[in-house]
Amino acid sequence: MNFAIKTSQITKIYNTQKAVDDVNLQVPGGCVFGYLGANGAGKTTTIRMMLNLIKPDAGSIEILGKSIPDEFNAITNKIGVVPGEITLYEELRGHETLTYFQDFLKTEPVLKERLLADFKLNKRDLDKKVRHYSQGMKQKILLVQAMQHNPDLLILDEPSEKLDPLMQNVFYDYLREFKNNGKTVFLSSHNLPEVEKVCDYIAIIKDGRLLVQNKIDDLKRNLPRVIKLTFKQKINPQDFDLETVNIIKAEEKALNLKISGPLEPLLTVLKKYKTYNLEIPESPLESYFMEFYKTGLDS
Amino acid sequence: MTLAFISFHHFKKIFKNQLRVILILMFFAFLIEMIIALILSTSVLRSYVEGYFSLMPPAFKQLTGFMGQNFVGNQFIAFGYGHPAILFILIFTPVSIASRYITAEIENRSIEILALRLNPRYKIVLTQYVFIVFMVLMIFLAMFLGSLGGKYFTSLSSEIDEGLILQIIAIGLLFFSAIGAIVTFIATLFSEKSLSFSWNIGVILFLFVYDALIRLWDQAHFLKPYSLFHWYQPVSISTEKYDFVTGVPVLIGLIILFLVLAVYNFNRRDL
Repeated sequence: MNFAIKTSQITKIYNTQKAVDDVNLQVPGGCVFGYLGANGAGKTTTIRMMLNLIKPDAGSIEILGKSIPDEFNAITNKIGVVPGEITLYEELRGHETLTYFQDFLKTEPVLKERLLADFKLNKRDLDKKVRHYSQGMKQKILLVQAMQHNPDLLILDEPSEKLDPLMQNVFYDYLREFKNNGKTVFLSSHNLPEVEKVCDYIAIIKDGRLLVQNKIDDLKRNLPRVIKLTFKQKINPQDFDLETVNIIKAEEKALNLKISGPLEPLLTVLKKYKTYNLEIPESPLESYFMEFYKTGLDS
Repeated sequence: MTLAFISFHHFKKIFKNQLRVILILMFFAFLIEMIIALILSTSVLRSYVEGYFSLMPPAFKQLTGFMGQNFVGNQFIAFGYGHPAILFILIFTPVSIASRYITAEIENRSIEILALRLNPRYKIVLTQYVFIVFMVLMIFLAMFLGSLGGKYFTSLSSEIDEGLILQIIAIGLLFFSAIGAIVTFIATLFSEKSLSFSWNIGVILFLFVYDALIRLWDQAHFLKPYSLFHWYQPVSISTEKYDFVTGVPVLIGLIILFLVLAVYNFNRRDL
């Protein structure tokens, strides 16, 4: 398989604490790859190592087939980046910021006008100095500078956080378009619904360690679902002791169950009872993610 | 036109950003040298200054290198190039530029996009260094114009030798370029602008006090060649006592050494 990003056992230690510990990422080309983790999990540190901003204490990194940091020059024109928590040059105007960053590259800003129109950045906005921008406007400028030259690889660190829902959807459409054009997007986020919505692959990092890395669809297919049932009558929990069902919590008229296979056996049992309510999470990923986050690899 | 080791695009941005500051500093530098020439040309003021300097303690004269009484025009003009106000401008300019365009960029992380686009990394350091040299050059140019203006507007032509002033400017340019290299290196060591600024000022202040002490203390005179500020003595140049043969290589050596250190450290450090 052709990997857009490949890290081998990268580790970063601050003082004695491992911020990133032995991480092996394999990001296939032409996909949207979600890098999920809570705040402080090591997402930004991983990205900063990929971008040659910090040096790994161990391990190696390849981006678009080039070894980092030695061949970083070769990929400069092919990547677009939205770093996390950065400050733009406050003294520059919006259009100056975009031109300033673009002019370092040997490529044309082919998507600039379209991006500006779609992100609703008009001439008046662009003529303002960045110091007068709202957080959302600054984020839009960052997104435009990252995508305007139509790069082969987008590396985005929590890019949609400060965008309103409408702009988030515009942004997601662009990610899909990039993917459909054979480009790769590496999206770091702590927002699970966002990752589920746009990503094909997911990797979860916790305390610097990679917990899982897989196709989202494969993960969903194999994941247990936690459902909550409430009844109008008293129940006998033993009726629910099925091969595919694990009872997490049983009360007089309520049950929390973990389903690890087809629903049919459970539905057969449910026919015996008058059900008051049935809560099934929209996606099994959420409970999986939360559980992973609480207990880590042991779960 | 492109030079492999700097980015004109980045230089242009810094220039645009600092244009107002450059013009203000140039105006002050011009004004100071013009005033010095005016004092020199006005007999009443000149005798007043002569009298003033004759009252100064020997230690002060030793420190400034300017003896005051019965001075010639060149000496007084040279004194203007080492005047505390000028030293202040010429030292704070490199310190501010290095702290602003290296350390502050690291602190607020705006360097993250810049370092991705401006490759290899050392171009960031060298571009801001070239800008420091450019600013120092502009300030010296303004001073030179101030001296020339003073000379021609006040009919001092017989007393002032432009060749000597150009020698002072050449040594000054080398000296403050060396200061620029030192402060650039210090700026690459830190990730907080305030730390970079205070360490830079601290180091320059230490070097200045060290120079003052060894000039005032007779037994320590032998240490003079080992003092950085010893290599910028405009009055010594005007009296032809400056050791160009040692001074020029020392200053060039310092520039190369600290630039190499700055580039090496900036390339290896985490941003």
